[in-house]
Amino acid sequence: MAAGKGPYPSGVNPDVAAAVERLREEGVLTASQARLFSRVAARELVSVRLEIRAALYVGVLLLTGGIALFVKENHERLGPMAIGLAIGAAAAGCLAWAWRNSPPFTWEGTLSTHAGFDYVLLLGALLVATDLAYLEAQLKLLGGNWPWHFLVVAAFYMLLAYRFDSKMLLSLALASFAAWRGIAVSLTKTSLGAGDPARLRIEALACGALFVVLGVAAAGRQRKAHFEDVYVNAGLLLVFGGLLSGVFGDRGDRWDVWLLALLLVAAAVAAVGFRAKRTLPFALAVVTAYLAVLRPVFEIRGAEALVLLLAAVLAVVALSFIVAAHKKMRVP
Amino acid sequence: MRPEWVASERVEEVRAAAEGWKRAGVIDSGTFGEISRRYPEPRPLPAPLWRLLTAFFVTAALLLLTGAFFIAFRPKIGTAPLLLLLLSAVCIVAAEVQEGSPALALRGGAGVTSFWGIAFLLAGVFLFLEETLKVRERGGMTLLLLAALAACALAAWRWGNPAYAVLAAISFFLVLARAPSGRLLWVAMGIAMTLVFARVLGHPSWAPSHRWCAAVLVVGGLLGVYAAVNLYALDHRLVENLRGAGLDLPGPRFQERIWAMVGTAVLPVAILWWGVRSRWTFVLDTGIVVAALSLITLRHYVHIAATWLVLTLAGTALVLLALALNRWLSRGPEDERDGFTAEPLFADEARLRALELVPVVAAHAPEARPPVEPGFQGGGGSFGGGGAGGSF
Repeated sequence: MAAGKGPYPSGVNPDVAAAVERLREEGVLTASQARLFSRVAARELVSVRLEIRAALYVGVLLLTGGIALFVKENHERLGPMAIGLAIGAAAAGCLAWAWRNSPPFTWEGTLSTHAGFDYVLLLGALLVATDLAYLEAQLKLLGGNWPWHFLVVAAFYMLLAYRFDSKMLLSLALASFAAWRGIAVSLTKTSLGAGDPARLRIEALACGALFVVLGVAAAGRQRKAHFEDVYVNAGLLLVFGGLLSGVFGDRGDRWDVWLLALLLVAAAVAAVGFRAKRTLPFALAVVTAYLAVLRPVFEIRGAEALVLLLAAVLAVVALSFIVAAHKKMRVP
Repeated sequence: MRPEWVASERVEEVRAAAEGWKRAGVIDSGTFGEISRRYPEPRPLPAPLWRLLTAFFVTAALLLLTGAFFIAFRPKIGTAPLLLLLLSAVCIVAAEVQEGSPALALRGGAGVTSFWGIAFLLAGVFLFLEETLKVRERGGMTLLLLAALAACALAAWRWGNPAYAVLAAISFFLVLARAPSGRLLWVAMGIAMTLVFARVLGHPSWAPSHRWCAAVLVVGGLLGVYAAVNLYALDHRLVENLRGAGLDLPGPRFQERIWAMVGTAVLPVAILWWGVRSRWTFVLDTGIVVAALSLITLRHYVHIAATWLVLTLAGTALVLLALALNRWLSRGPEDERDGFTAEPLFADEARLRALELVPVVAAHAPEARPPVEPGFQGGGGSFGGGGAGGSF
């Protein structure tokens, strides 16, 4: 509902067609520019890039799902070597294609011009991860230390992310690293995984802090500086998730300490986000601080209406803060 | 819609297009500045994240205030509908005020305020029918759906928000499903809805947001027709079940099933053909979705191979088809064929890629490693899918 209006779908734009014509007549647009814009506005030229990318993504999902099912149903009949080699060959094919179609490595951002590049690369990376996990499960190479294969997978994803300049694989690398530390980032799982909540909380905070430091270092040293937002946003999600878990999940009486820590971190992140004109960290800080402050509010007993009223007033205060901050940040 | 809102929308549309032209590097900063000067921003349009943030806090404030109000006054069940209608009126007036203020119209607050206004209205109507008029369940639900249809259609017309067009279309089909020949009505009215709103899609006299609503209704009409003719939906009486009558009805007749088979096979092709001919990408997308649904329906009835093989072949076919289409379009004169191109044109690819991260991580991120138990020796664990975690 919030974002329900504009921009409008491509194709439904006779207003743009009229404006292009007017701008051409007034000399703002050249004839060739106007011709291109008019064609797009009049639907004489339509991009199907989104459809191609969506088809590739769904195709990758189906393929990895099919292969996973195949391995599950046939691994006893075919044996680990045959399956491992088959998946490895498919993965190698995908990665070789990606290598051939990628620009050379650079510390700067690169843009692949091929619509399918991201997805073929993703497929290759996922197949390698599947292969590694399968072989580990069958051959027990790491024995009792098998969770370390998460770290191996994270390192592999990271390597590919840097070589092929893929934020998608960097995100998966960070998620795999977090999984190694016992934290599930997947939306389908509990946010802090299973096990001792106190330990996981510390793991989340440590992972989050590490990611933020890596992001700041990437930007500061100009080594894939555009990866900074992936590192920092993932890190902040973990830090705020860990702190919120402390505020709401601490079974002792120390939730007030967690609250204080959260408010300090949120204030710092909001201040940095405000100065750097970074919307997502700022938004995360404000929402998390609001949710955390609700804990002491809902501790008030015997005055439910007052509690809700107080929570509503806090929401209005947060809203006013957001509107004022947005005006002062001068960002879209 | 007020004329000044429509005028603002038209300017915003030109500005959005100019931003795309600049992003694609087709115009320089000077030209963009000149266009911006000729089409000055009529209303501040914050980025989607700001609008979401505003919407979140407006929702929180509204619901918490409502809760506080109800707890404080503890209204009797007979007076609750009146209070809800009062709250609804307050929200709708607040939405109208925000829409009328250029500074507030696009901040995200107007949309959620009107949404909660409609939600409170429907809750009030529901309680009024149930508790005051004691209307029996079936008739009451029909009246409630009619109220939802009217409210959402009016909201879409007044504020031009396509989300209300979606809700209106859903209410419309749910109302039709309650009629004795619901399935036939879905086909007839779905076709009518598609044809009527397709005529105004590119009509210059319509406000941009109304054209957006019309596009939503075209898709709604097509999906309604498809849901009515799909073989699986017929066999499982999905439309009839919406009025609670599916279990009482006999199975479909042979002729009905033949028609449904034809419809399941032909409709996706027809929609795809229309999408290609008209070059409306949303029609094309609808065709792709219903084609996928038809293939799933086919798989449900015809077991040609093991599931893993079907998934693997379908995935491979989809990837190869997409790559082939991309290659074919890219090798055409000026990277296009018959008016289609695989180039992004003026779309914001960086934003799309950023948005893609969420589903990719959600789908492929591994499960967390299990906690280590004292004395646990490990057994190699289980092997994971794409994310290399968990068990197959």
